[in-house]
Amino acid sequence: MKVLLSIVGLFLSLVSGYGFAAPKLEVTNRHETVVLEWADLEALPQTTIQTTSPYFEGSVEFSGPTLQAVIDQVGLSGESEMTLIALNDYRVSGSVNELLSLDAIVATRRNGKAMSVRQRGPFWLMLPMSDRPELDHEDYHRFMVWQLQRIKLQ
Amino acid sequence: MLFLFLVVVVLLGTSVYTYIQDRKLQSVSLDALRMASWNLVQLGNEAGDLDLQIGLMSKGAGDPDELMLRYDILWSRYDYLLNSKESAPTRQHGDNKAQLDTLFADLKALEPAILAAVNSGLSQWDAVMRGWEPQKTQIRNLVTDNFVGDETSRLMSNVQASRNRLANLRLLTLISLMAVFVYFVLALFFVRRQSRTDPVTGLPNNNYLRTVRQVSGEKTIIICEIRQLQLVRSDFGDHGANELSSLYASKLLKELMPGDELIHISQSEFLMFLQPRAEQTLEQTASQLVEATTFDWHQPNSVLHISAVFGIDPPCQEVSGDWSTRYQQAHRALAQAHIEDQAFYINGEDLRRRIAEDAQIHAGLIKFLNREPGSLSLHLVYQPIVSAVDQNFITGAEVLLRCRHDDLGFIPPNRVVNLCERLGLGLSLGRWLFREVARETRYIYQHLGFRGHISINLNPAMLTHKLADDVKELLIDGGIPPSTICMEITEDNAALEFGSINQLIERLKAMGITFALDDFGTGHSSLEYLRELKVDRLKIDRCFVDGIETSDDKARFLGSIIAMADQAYMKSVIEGVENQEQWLLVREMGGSLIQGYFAHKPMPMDDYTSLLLDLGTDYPRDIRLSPQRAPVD
Repeated sequence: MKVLLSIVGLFLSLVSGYGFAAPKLEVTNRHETVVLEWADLEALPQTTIQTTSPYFEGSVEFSGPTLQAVIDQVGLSGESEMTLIALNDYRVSGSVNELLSLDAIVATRRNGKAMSVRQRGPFWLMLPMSDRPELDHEDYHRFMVWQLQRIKLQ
Repeated sequence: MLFLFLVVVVLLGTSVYTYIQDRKLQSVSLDALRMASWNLVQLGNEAGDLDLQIGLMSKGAGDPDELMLRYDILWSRYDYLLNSKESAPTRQHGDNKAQLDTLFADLKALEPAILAAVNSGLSQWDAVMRGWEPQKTQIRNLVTDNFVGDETSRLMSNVQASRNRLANLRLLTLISLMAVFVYFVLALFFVRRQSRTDPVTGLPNNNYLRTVRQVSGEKTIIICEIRQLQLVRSDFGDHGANELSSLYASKLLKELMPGDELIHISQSEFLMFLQPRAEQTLEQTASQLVEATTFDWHQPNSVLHISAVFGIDPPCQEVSGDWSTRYQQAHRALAQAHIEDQAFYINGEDLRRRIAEDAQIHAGLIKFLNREPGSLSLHLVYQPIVSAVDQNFITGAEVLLRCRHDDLGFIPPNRVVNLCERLGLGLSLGRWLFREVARETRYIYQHLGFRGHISINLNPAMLTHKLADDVKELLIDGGIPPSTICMEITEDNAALEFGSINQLIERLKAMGITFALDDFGTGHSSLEYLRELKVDRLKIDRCFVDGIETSDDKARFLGSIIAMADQAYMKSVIEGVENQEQWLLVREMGGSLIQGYFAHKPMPMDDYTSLLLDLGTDYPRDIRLSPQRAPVD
């Protein structure tokens, strides 16, 4: 029995992140909330960023829809502030204009592969720091929220 | 200099060190603290979330999806802390990496139990709890006590160290500034003292002298000048001169008594302030100084006789006489010693009067020579020179200068001539004399047909290459026949240089002018002059005539001189013949011409003219111009 359980556990552990319900991304403006699944974001136009970052060694490729495209799913109706909230309830706020001016993407893939929660996925707000070196600064690093759960517009 | 350099280097080094340390403290420590706090607070929160879910699950109220999500989030936190670049300071601190590795491994090890519990229900959660509780405690310890507290205390101690460094730097700067200040004060003091000391003799120097404001009236002020220093410098260089200066200073120092001062004014000059000497007159003190400082200076190849001239200002009545006046008086005394060629001269009332008189005479001479009205006047007198054979035969006359001052009365001609020479009026005086002689003698030469000679004393300033021009322009063109002009030069004048003097003589002789050597036997010279100078006449000084009528020795001596002149084909003019006996003796000795009171005293031109016109008098004449008198016989 124990052996069986171990085998099941091992199996489950291998598929962890898939076996259980995958986190979704909520986008909220003043009026409504849109819940986007990983596949929904995959369906949007994809942007690829090749960048270095303080979080990993060397240059890594990230892909996913632009933050703009994700916002467009709910649309702006006069909101000026955006709050990014992670699974662990880490949150960071900034002006909508500033955040949209950063050419950020909501990455869904890292080096072409979907990211598990353990890999700080499934959604990771990523900035093109290699293309725009001025973004490689603490002031912007704080916007690079991993395990992104909600985008709140106010 | 090196000291200052070292101080600056130490200060700069310390400042740079302090700056770097503080920068490190600021950047590294604060960053590390912030990042560590942030990351570990996150770790703590995420562990708390998982703990909550495990607790819920163990009570049968949890959601497996949520549990696994929290598990994965904590898992990713460990991954982040152990692998990301950003969290490097956090894991590098202390043994954090090892702790995190252990915790991460423990978490991973917990996964099968969790999965088993999720799948098999409540009974399995005890095992999960047993595995999880130690981790929870360990995480809490890591977050609170160990890491944050440690880093904070490290920051605090670093801040304290920084404060101490700054305080030390401040103290060091203060000490350095003090040291530099003290250094400068000492340097200034040293430089001031140094600048007041002669580097060669170590005596107070001219700079020190400038600080002297007054000297006690009872002290004697003495200036002493080494005579031969210029010569030493030219022969032995500056080094030799310094050596002599030092030697001389040591000799002066030996003569000092307590309370005396010795100042080294220049290489050749010393200044002394002497206390009164008991039982010794000032003259005795001066003589003692002269004696002590007159010596032979032995050099490898020569011996130099060294002596000095002393100018002395005696003690004065006032307690402290005006220093600058006394210093000037000492200088005057020194100048007077030079003029009189004495070893020392003590300033006194007579010198003061004399200098005042000199100033009056000088001013009067300038006015007179500029033909302005003044209190001084010069005029000429003529002393006839007669034939030794015939007292009534006037062969000529010597022009003599007379000077009168309204306040000072008659002034000796020597003094006038010397003053003129010293004060640069010699040439003006000589030219005035030439003009005056020509003007006064015009009658006797132009109208009387007188052809006797006119002897003119040349003052030294006239003895230049311009003399021939002056003689031509002022005397010959003025109406005096060249053949009657006799220029008298003295041995002292001629001491300049035989070559150039003889050149002058030759030039004038070519014009028909004759020369006489004046005051023979009284100068500093020797027979060499007599041999070398191409003169026609020898004027034998009165001192050789004095007493010949009472002393055979003196008479014989004079006779020898006259004989010598004879042998050298020179006419001798014997001066100072004052009585019949002398006259007769000189005539016997073969002296040809006589000048003296016995024949004639010096007289104004009017009297001289009258003398010539006297029927009892004869003289050389130009017959064509002399109709008044038929030739005798």
